Amino acid sequence: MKILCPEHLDEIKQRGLNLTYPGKVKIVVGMATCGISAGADKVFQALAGKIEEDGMEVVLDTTGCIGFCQKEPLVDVVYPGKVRLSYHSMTPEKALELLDAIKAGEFYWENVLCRIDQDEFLIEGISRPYANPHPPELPSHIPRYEEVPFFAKQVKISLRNCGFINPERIEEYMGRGGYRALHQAVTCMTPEEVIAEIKASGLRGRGGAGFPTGQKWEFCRNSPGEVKYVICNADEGDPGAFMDRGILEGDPHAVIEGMAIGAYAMGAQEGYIYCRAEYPLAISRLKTALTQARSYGILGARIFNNPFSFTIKIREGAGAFVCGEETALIASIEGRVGEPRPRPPFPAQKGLWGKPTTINNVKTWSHIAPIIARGSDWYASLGIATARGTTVFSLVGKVNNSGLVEIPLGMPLKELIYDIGGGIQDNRMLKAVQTGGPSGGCIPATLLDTPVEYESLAKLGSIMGSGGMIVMDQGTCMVDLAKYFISFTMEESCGKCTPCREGTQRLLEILTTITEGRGDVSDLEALEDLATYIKEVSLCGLGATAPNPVLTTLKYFREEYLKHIVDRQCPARVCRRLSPAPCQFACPAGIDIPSYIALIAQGQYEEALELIQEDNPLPGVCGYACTAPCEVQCKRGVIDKPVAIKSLKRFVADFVRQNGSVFQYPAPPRAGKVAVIGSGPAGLSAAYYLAREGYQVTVFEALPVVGGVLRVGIPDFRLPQEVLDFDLQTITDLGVEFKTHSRLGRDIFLDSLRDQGYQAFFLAIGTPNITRLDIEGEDLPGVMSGLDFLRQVSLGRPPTLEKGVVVIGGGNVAIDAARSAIRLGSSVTVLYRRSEAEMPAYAEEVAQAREEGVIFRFLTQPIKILGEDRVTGIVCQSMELGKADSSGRRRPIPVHGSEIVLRVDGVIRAIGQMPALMKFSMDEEPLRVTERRNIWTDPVTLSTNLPGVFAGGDVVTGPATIVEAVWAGKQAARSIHRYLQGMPLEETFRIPVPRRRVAPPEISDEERAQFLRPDIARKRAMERIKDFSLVELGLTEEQCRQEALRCLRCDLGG
Amino acid sequence: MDASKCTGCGTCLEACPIRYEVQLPATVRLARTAYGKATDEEAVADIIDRHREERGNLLPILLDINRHFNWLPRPAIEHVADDLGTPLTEILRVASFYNAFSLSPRGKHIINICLGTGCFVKGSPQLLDRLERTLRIKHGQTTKDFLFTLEVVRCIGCCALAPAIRVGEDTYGRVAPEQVPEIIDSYRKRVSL
Repeated sequence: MKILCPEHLDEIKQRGLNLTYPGKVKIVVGMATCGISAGADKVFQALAGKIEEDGMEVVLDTTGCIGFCQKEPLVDVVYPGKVRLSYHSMTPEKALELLDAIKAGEFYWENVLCRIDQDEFLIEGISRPYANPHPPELPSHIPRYEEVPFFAKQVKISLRNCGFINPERIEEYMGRGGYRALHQAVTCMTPEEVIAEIKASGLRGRGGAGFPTGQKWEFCRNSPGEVKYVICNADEGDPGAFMDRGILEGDPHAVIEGMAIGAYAMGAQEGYIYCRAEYPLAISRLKTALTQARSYGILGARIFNNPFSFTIKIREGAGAFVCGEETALIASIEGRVGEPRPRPPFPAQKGLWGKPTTINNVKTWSHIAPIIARGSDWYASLGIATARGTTVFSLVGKVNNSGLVEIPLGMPLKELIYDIGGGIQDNRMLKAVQTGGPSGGCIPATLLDTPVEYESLAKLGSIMGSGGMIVMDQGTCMVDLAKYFISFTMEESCGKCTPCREGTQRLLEILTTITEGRGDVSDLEALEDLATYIKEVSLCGLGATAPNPVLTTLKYFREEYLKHIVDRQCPARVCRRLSPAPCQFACPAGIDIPSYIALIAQGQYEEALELIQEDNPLPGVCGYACTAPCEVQCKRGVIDKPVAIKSLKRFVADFVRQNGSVFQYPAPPRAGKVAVIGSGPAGLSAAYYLAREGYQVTVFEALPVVGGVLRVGIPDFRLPQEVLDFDLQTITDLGVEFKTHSRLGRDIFLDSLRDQGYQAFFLAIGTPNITRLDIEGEDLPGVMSGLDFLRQVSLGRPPTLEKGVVVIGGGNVAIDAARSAIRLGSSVTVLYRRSEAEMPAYAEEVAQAREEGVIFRFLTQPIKILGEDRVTGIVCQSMELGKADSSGRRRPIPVHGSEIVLRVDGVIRAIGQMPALMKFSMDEEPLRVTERRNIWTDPVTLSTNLPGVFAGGDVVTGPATIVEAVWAGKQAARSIHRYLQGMPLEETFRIPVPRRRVAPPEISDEERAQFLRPDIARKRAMERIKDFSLVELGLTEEQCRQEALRCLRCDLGG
Repeated sequence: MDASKCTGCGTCLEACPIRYEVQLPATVRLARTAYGKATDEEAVADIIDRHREERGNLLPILLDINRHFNWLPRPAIEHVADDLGTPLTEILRVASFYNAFSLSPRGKHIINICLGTGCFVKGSPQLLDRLERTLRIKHGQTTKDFLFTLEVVRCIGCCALAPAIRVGEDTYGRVAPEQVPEIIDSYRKRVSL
């Protein structure tokens, strides 16, 4: 049937309305690409199957996307005469439940997004209520469509029918006033009147540049020639933009009608829709729409019985971003390589096949029919003076409500992101908004009041572009983002003009150096110069806008560039080359392990040691006694065995100690006296780094010797005295002063130290007390704490033990005490109330203790210590494992009647450590402690509740490792430095970064794979127990050089 | 000509006075590379006929051939060059310019992973990594069994459901790296059935 008169239009309109509102229950599934990828097709099949199976009186239909892609699959149900309910996040199961509810004649209440009480018919400016006569009472928590924040502030012109009609039926489009405008234009208006109307509306191109549409049309109309073309640019190539897809899939006729009106106004007979091949569904719906339009005579010869004729062809793009540029697009339609050419002549003068041509974007075309139908005054009432009407954005990225949104121009970005977009996911901080795709720029969070319109965005260095809006949070690295866009434009540059072809490559090279930590500050200037140059001299829009992402990120995120270049840190932790290798990341002190291993491979031992000291002032101590969490994470361990990192560290420390020395000159002296209290690993570390900064540091130690647990807690057979002495020497050489016999709260006080001129304090007083057993006989002579015992041994005053000794506990102190006791000639039994697998002590130490003759009794606990005036024995009881407790370990339960008596004359308890009972204060303000009697600190800055007082190490964390204490000391030094300089403290954890990038040794992968981790030589057990000499003999220089070659250099991996 | 300095700008082609004339004698023209299957020639001839009357038909023809074979086989390109009287260089230039065309055979299922900005900020690089490891190929390559080709695309318009991938005609949204083996397997099974 050909439409020839208004009555025909009315007749089809009525047919369309009957289809849209069938008077039965109607279920509509949103089946745009976004819906289908979220599973809408499965929902549809489930519904269709069940409806057919049960023979239900229900109309099932599909529609386009209503825009709320985040909540797909969306299903709407029209309850006739009542209301339309919109359901979100539907699944096939929920769909069946929905059908059950409908069968029972009820509303379905789950997953309701909103209620829709009436449909707005934009073209006719009327609304059509669903209810007859009054809307039903629904629970108040169900919002109305107008109340849903995502929809509330939107004004839908382009998207007027999306989600409300079946896009594959022209009748439904006409039911809502479709093709009225075309009829009006063709039958009642002259082409000049149409152009005048468009000009008066103030419509500007929605494709990016914002050229006034009416003016463009006028140029084309006035160009001489009989043959003219109109083209719809649907080559939506901007990554992150899908507005055109949404419109073409949801309402293709809106575009066709707009093009037909345009063709009438300009005198064109033929039109092309150039759609990218990546949108197969859009192409198929367009084809259907064109066929239908032809069948009604809306396209073809003598439209509406007038002399006006017009046809439209679809051309598929073949994946070239540059074809979004109008001259390149024309070349592509002509079947050539899509390269732009210089303008003028403009397409309006010489376009497709050399004829006058007008190219408009999908969104621009979709605005034409409403302007003609409702008049330019109505349209101009929307938006702001320089930018009339609405535009569609695809709001995506880290925003809560992503999808298609149509807003009046001039709305502030903030409103768009926070009101419509619902803010940032997981309540994170917004970092930047990217508009305009690869041609646009990044707008920082501080400029969110900017109105969304052409000139304001251009002023910030971005562009409106076609409508992609990508919201980014702190997890996005701006340098990486700039690199991403430049690599995009570099790939998509057609290669015709040099500045764009070569310039983007150079930009990418510079950006790559920066993201890999090889950048120089001068690179920023080079980037700026080059980017400006490309912008000025490129042939087409692609090149002229390509540098925008670089220029805007440089403008608003220069700090982040500098972080990459100067600190070699990527704050977003995106740039892999600026992230530490697994071993470095695992090391609490964050030592640049791959680099020092590489230096060892080269034989540069002193340099390796200096590199270690950048992050750990106790290389010797840690080489001998570290728990080596780095080796657990070593990637070589996945292949065979981890690199022997600890032994390598020990080797360089030993080598330098025996063959040379490192001497570090402190920084120029700075004003500032700092008191470090406690000379264990945390205190030493803090003292070292403070002294390196030039501060005057005094370390106060309660005992007569310096070193804390390193001196009196770790036996000599694990950590020889001279190793500790060497590390201490390095610290003393820096000018650190040590004062022994100074216990805080007895010999020294915070207030009096402050009076002596100390401005900051670091409390690293450890956990010197052993938890009590709370059993009978605990206070008898002969019962001692593990720490006291080790202390006495190392101070050369070991207690006499004749018959034998029992050690209670399963930690490292227990094992060290047991192994020390056996060296003193006693027989030793270790009692542990859980099983061996649950022992916190290092398995290797346990194995060595067993070799040395220590007897272990697992699942055994003491219940009573026997003796009159001295220990004579101990009563123990067996345990069995019950259910898991809060630590995840199975709780031991006593077995009744399993008591036995062990005859011993010494009991060493080592079941747990805690800080000494303390009540420290400053200006009568007490130091805050936790329930477990640890000092309270901020976890990052290590500051306590008292001003200038910091604390770290075991006294804060409870018993932990040496290397964790080293971190605490280093962090405290950093905080104290900032405190003394009046700078704000660092509030986020520092990610360790590779300090050096030592070139890898020249060795093939095959050769590297052949080297195996060497076994570390140990003294025989029978020899070991004769004295306190060192057990592990370490690796030879040759072994170390080879072992260093086993490193896979994860730090260099990309 | 210094081949290393050619940027492929095509200006020489445009300036060439004999550009749209195929200069080969008829005997050489017939000595085309042979098709693998006889039916292939028919298919290509059909495609050319379908678009013969259209102006600027080179792109639609190549797109259809590309869809039919999943790539542009040499005999088909030569066939088109002969039939349309377009120089082979011109066709190769077009074919190598647009991303949609492939000049080497591709797998049965073409996996497009979206690296558009929306997907990029939502972690598609990790997804790509997982796909590459699962398929044991790099992007742009085809598995040895010619089942899968992995290609990177810039935006398939599913930004709100990022990260997205497309396997053949099927689009998957909000894909977590862990889902990759499952998706791949579902296509492997389809083949074995």
